[in-house]
Amino acid sequence: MTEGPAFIWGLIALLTIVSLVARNLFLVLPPAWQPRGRVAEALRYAPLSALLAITVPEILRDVRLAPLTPDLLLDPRLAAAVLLALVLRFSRRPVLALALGGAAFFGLGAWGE
Amino acid sequence: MRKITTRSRHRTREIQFVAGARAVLVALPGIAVWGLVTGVAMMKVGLELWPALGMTFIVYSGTSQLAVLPMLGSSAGLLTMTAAAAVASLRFLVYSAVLSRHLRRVPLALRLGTGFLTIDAPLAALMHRQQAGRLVQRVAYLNGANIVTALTWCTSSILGIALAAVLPMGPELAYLGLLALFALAVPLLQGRPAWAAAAASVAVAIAGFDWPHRLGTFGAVLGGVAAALWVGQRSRGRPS
Repeated sequence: MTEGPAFIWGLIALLTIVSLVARNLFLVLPPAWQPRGRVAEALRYAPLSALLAITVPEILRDVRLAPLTPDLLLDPRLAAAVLLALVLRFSRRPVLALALGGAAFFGLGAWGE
Repeated sequence: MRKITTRSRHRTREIQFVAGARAVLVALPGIAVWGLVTGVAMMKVGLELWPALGMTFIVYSGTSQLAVLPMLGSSAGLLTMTAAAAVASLRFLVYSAVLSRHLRRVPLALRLGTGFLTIDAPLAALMHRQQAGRLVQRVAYLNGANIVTALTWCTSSILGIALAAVLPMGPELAYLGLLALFALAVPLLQGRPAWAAAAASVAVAIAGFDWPHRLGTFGAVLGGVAAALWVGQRSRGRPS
């Protein structure tokens, strides 16, 4: 990390504003401004798109330049995310999924060294 | 007579506050693990103690925090990071729209405080309560859930901050935080428009890896939403 204290505290202030606005926007807008129609539908799918847009580049960080072979699935970052998604889909237990995903990440990381 | 009514209303509020607190108990282990992971991740990317505590108490958003942590040290600017956090926080916008129906008559300060504290688990508890048709003194109920959730989040995050110092591993441990964020996306994959959104978002995110200012990320959000709207419209237009 190279950022100084002024940057970090500035970031904390801005993120606090993000929390405040995101959680309160429709609580302060008049009822007529509540989302409906296409806007409501867009808002429904925006969280999924956003979470994937942010996490996928990090998950694929180390494999994006590698050739497409089955070995790709042994990349610790990708394997952890795939395992987490599968466990979460089938067991619906987030803590278990995170624990197994984390274990795969560190297991494969240690094995690859 | 009036005194009794006021007292009984006060009593109902207390009962609902406790009921709300109890309703989120089931979600607390999950919240605690996410708090712990976020605390560890913050320290492992190199944040100092006070900023990490500041994020925990003032920002109070695992989503925003986890979204910006991988960007620290990557020479991304303040505005880029803030925009990424805002995009990651879009689900709270949806929550605030849902919540606005319940808090319309509440005084502004209490409404804003309640809105700020209402995250996933308390809102889910309120929805369950509403479906069960047992919604009385909903603000007290919600804030009972909110207070327990906030206490659990902050305590576990502080624990994670402390734990980071004794854990032998380095920055690679912060990847757990990213996995925690990814885990929030998986349950949202329900129905065709959602799958279309996911496919488009991932495709644009991959295509836009090297675009400047994380434009790939923002493009991926727009692509995902556009794909969901398109698929939603097509499936509605089809005779069933």
